[in-house]
Amino acid sequence: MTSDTIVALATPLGVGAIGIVRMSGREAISIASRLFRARSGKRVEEFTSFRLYLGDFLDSVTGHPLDEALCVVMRAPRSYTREDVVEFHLHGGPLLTRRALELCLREGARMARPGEFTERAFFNGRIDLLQAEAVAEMVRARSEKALQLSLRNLKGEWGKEIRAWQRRLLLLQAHIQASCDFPDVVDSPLEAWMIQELSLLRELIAKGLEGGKRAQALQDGFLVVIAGKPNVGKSSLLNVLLGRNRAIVTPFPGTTRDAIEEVILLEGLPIRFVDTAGIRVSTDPVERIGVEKAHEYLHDADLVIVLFDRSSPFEEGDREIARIVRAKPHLVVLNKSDLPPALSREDIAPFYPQEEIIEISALTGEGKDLLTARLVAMLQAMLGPEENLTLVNARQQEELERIVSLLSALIHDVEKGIPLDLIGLQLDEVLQAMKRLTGENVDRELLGIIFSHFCLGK
Amino acid sequence: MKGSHYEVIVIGGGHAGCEAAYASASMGLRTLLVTTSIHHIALMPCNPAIGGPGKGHVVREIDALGGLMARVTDRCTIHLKKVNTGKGPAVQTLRAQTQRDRYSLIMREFLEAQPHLSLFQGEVTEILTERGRVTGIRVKQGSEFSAQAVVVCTGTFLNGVIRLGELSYPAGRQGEFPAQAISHNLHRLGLRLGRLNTCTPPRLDRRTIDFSRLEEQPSDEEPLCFSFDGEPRTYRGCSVYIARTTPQTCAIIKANFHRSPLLYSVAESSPVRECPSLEDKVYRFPERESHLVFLEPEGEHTNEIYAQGIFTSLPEEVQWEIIHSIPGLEEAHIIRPGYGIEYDYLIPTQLHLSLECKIVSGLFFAGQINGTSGYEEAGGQGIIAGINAGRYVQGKPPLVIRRDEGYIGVMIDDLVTKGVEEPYRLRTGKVEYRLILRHSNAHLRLSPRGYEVGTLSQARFHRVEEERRAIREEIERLHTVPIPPSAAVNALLEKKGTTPIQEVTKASVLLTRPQINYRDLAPFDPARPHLPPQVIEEVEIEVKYRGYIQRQIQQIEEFRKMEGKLIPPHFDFSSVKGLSSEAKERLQRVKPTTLGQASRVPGVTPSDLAVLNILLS
Repeated sequence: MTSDTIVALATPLGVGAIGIVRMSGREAISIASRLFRARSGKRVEEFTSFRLYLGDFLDSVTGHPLDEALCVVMRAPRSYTREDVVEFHLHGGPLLTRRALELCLREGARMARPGEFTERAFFNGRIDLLQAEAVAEMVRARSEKALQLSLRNLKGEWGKEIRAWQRRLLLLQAHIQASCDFPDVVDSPLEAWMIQELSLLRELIAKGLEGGKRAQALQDGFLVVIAGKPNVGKSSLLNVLLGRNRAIVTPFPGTTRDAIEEVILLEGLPIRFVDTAGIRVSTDPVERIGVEKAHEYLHDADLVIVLFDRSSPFEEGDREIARIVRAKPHLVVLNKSDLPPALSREDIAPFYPQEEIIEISALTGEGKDLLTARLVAMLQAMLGPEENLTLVNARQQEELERIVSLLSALIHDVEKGIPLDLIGLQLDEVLQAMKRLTGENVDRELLGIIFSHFCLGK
Repeated sequence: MKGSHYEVIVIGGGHAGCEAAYASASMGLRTLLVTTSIHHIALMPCNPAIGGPGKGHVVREIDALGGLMARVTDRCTIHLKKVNTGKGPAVQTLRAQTQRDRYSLIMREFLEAQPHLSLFQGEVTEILTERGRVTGIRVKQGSEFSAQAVVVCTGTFLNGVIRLGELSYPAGRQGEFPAQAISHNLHRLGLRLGRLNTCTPPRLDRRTIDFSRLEEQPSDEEPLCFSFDGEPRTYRGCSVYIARTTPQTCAIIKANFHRSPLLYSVAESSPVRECPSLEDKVYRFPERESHLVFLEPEGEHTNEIYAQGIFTSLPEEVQWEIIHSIPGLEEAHIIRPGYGIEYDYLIPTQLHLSLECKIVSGLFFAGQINGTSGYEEAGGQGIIAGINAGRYVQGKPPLVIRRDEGYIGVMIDDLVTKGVEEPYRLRTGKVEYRLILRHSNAHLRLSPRGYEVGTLSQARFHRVEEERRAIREEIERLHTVPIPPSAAVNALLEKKGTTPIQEVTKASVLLTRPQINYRDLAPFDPARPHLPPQVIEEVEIEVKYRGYIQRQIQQIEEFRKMEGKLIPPHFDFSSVKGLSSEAKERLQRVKPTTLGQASRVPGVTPSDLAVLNILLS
């Protein structure tokens, strides 16, 4: 199988304090030895594993030092990929790191495909499927919180609970099988117990699914749509919110450039702001398309900022917006607080009774902090309690939904009085699905459970 | 001294050996069955019962392939019960009490009636081989018989040692000599052997048991039989009785733990969970105050009663105390004490799915020597080994029953893929696709295979096919029978505890309700043909559980995809990068032939499978 040496930039290509070039494979150390000269005079082959060495990264074409750098060797099998891994820590800068990468390629390494380091870790038995998936989520993570969650996925409480449930179901299965295989010895009614167990499990998984859906927002970002009739200052509001935060783009690699531009982090929450076309009834077909698009965004939005212009009178366009947005989670904002008021709170209040109305000036920045605070508070509330948040990827979600529907069918069958063995066969399907979910193989345990719980013989 | 030449030789006349010899002879091959004692052919050294969950299924499968166990059982049954009624069609099966002595005689009658089969009494001391191929056998008295294929069915005889308290002496079964030479011979051939143990219970004198204090389990009132050819009938007069041990029994056993040579934690050989001795049960479940004892008659004309549940290797004097501590047995006389036996078994991962061993061609193994327990498991392997020895001689590919085709397939796949840690026993729970692999449809599943290899007669095959057609037609008919809502039908539905119908409903739809059976609908289905009960049973199951059956069919399709991914015969697992070292070692030993089989090798993880899958595609 593959044992060629792969190389990639481990940090994003751009200006940063350091740039890391990482190699893995059989030739990693010998390639490094041609490209790095340690201050101490020690050869790379002699480096102690996991120790940083200071030296020069050499341009093997010219023979001149390219950069002062640190080099670390992580020897197989105690490395991420279980192969020899070498990292160079260079001074950041796209030209420098790119040149270092080119030199590694020139010396015999091959450019790694996306995810190939993790793939090797998986194939070399370093991590299991769930962990590999968690790593993929980590790489994709758009925020610090999502990152924490993906770490939690590896050994999460919820995951532990699911694993524990595998064993509880196994006990149930053991009872069913013992009753069918040793009918003379074991014969106690199981229905009530089964329904109780299966319902509890269904509840737990539903909770996980729900938590997973909420956590998805941390991964994808909350979709916050700014709606308002034309010229209420939507773009300025966006600029104010973005401008202040533009520098805080997600620091994690793997996200595409345009995605970064859409997303900002407020108090650690990733938010995708969308500025919509002004919504109004129009007969112009082109404008109608724009309006339809705006409606779609409003439909998908997690939260809508309804924006009004305090300096111009309340009119039909405002009323239209107010009507559309009422059902969605929203914040009501009056812009242009720096200009003389022409619109009063009483104009809006009938549409949003008992709601706070925030006044800001996109121009001066007045009221912006309050808006940010309210926005974050609402998103936090939508995210819900931390305890059930779990990152669930598409595959896991599908599996979980399958388990929920299997469990529902199973509970229905138990209630209907379907014979015990048919219940057992369906329970097998649930156990198989849980095995695919957790990667945990419990097949061999069943026998042990049957015979440790029942006193059976031939 | 040279004996004559045979095409197939079977060593051992137990349940595996009889089926193997009969199968190969039925295929027209000159077959010799060598046994240490002609009088002990198809002996039941353990309980005088055939069938029960998992085991009854195998008896039916042997019958479908043209074997003997079901036919012999039907001719010496004294008590017959349908078990697991109401627990689902997959786990329903029969269990028969038989006349032990008669079983042996009738089996011999069948064997002697088979023209291509000869019997020979003698102890085989050597399996002869030449350049990795089997060539024949030599017996103790010196005779040599040559053959192209040999099937070894020596049961518990290899290096058998009887253990009874402090006593310990070599024996094959109680009162018979062990076979020691052949054990060494197998070693020399390069085969690895392990050690297992099992126990038998004491036999009691019927006249000394107070049955009035025991719970009676009479034979079923419904006429029943095992074989497709059998005549269903009822049995009277030989009930099974249930006794219960007392805290005093447990106290006696606890006081004598140290005298049990085969106790769970004490024996050198592997622990026994599926067939534990009574002392094991008391040891592992000390809080249990009572254990069940089934008193099974050994025949109509004998006073011997088999005390099922008191499997023990405790000394004889302790066995008396145990028996007398049980209500109803206070005065009981023991005719034969129970005993434990330790014996060599062949580590079955050294076998192909055909039951041929991997290192000597033409040498097959079947039965308890492969680490199984039970007559039925032995018979099921026996018929497959006999057929495949015959196929080997004929130069044809072996008959392999897959896990989705029969209990026999599950058993053999488990044995050669997973090996055994204790005597292997079939259970319905081990069979993934059991809803398709029913006791009731064994003949429909396997008769075509038996006919194809030549062990099943053409006449039987045609009758099975006729039945298949009748079942199909009746199912199709039921889909077209309309039942209009009427006072009568709704009265029936309500009486049965299910909702009345408002509009015309097909008979097949009403039949899917758990409370309604085929017979209930007779008054509303006047055009229904007269059908035999086994056809009605099949129709009912197929219609009633259609949804569940469809689901299993889908699962089987998934399973077949994995089984379809072949691994080349000389594939070197140890050189595959990316496999865990445990997986490498296990896979290299088992040498699975498909990715599906590889997935069942213990210690192989989903990661290992992903690696193999990528490599093979």
